[in-house]
Amino acid sequence: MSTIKLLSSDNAELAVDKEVAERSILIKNMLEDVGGDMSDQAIPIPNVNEAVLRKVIEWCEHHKSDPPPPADEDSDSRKKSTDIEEWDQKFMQVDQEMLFEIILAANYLDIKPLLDVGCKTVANMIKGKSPEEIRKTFNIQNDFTPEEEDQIRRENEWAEE
Amino acid sequence: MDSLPTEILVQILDDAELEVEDLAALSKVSRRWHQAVIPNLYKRYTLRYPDELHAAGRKKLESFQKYGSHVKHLNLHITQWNKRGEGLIEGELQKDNAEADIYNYLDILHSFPEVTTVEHYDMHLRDINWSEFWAILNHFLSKKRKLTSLIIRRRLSYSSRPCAEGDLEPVELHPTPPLQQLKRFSLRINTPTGGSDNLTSFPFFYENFVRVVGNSCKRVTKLELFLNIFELAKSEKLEDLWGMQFPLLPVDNVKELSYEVLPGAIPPPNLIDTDFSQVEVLRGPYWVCGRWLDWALPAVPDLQIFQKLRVLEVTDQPYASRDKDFWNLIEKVVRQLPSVKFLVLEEEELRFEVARKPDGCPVWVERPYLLL
Repeated sequence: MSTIKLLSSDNAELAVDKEVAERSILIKNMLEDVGGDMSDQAIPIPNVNEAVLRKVIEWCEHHKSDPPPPADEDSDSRKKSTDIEEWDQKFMQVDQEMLFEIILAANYLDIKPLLDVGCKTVANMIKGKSPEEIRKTFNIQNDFTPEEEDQIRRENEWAEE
Repeated sequence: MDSLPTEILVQILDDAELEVEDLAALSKVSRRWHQAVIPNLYKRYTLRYPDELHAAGRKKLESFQKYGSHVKHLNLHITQWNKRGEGLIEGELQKDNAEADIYNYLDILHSFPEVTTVEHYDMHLRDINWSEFWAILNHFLSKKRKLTSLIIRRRLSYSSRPCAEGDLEPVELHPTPPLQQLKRFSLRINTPTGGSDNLTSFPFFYENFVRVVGNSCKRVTKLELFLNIFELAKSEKLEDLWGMQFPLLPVDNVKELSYEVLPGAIPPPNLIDTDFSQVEVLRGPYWVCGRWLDWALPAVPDLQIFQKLRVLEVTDQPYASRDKDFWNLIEKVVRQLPSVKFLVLEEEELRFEVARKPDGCPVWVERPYLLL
């Protein structure tokens, strides 16, 4: 099995099986573009630091045998949070900063199933919470004026009945 | 959280586990979250007309109208219809009828230009006359240019007036060029009683229907026609219908056809202009199959027009699997359809894979599920 090297944004070089790395559509396409031979040169991943890259590789290794996601998924099919499998749930038990870094890395590297798991994890953190609890959970500033808050409350009354 | 781009925030907030109450709470978190969640919060709207013109419903309607460009799925139930707009069609409304329900209803529909799926129901309502019904259908097909699926259900009350020649003036119609994204069109019309009035009205009904639809359904691949208008009609009167020339509904390429047109012997080629050899799934009641095999009747189609039919679904007959006559008939049908691989008995939720003997005779192999 061939191995390739990935270069993180903080200049750490990580060796990884080509098959594992190709869970990333970005890397897969890059390798295809250069004819698959990157054995002597590390592929730069400028948006992802070493710690996050290691986590992403860990996920890719665990899921290396998964079937590819459907190419043309119905855009209206909303994802279900309950679909997260047990291993992924444990994998995602990280601090918030790391969770968001993983989501960003999955988005950049084009690893859709990992992006989905990350988004579902955050959705689970949101569900059932009040606006104030959500602000507290994610350290978000309430930037509405009192008038705007009142208007939104009136507009959305139907959803709270 | 601020580090996540809006496109990812939108994906997070699109999670199916988030209830509408969650989405409403999310819209109050911050301006950024409000902007991100609004398309989801206002994606689906169920309007019960005219119930939601009053009190709390009115506020909800106003909110959905404000964010109408985000509404993709409309579920419309007309529960009451008070004022008549006889002979009226959109654009031709008379001043003294400005408060007719048809005017209000179409005015509301104008608020949702981006809808992709519509389900419209008017059930047991005496007062929606045919010209109003055609106006509503023509509105969907001419104004909602992003439709991918349109389902229209109309169940008439006992005292409804049958279709008549003057229900529609073609000059009143909005143009309906092909809807490029419309893949599913379903029209289900039921009358509770039959009789010669209904029978006589069918040609008017179908002619008006084809005019109203125009070319809008040309790209449809899933076509469902349930026109149960003539129960209890006498057979000699039905035979007159079988020999009639109807205008044809133009559809380029139907893959799935659900078909139940009373009287059942009006075969699809008499009503639809399409290449039937491309139909892969045919769904209909048992008696349709029976009619099509009864060579004594005029205008019976050659079943072999469905050369590539893979799936035959029988939608009625709750005890079909225990009925010997049923199996005899289905065997005759499937013998003439060499590509049929699957038989589904919808009422009993039974599925069969079709194997063949060397002479083409089908052998039914029951399966718990089918990979169609």
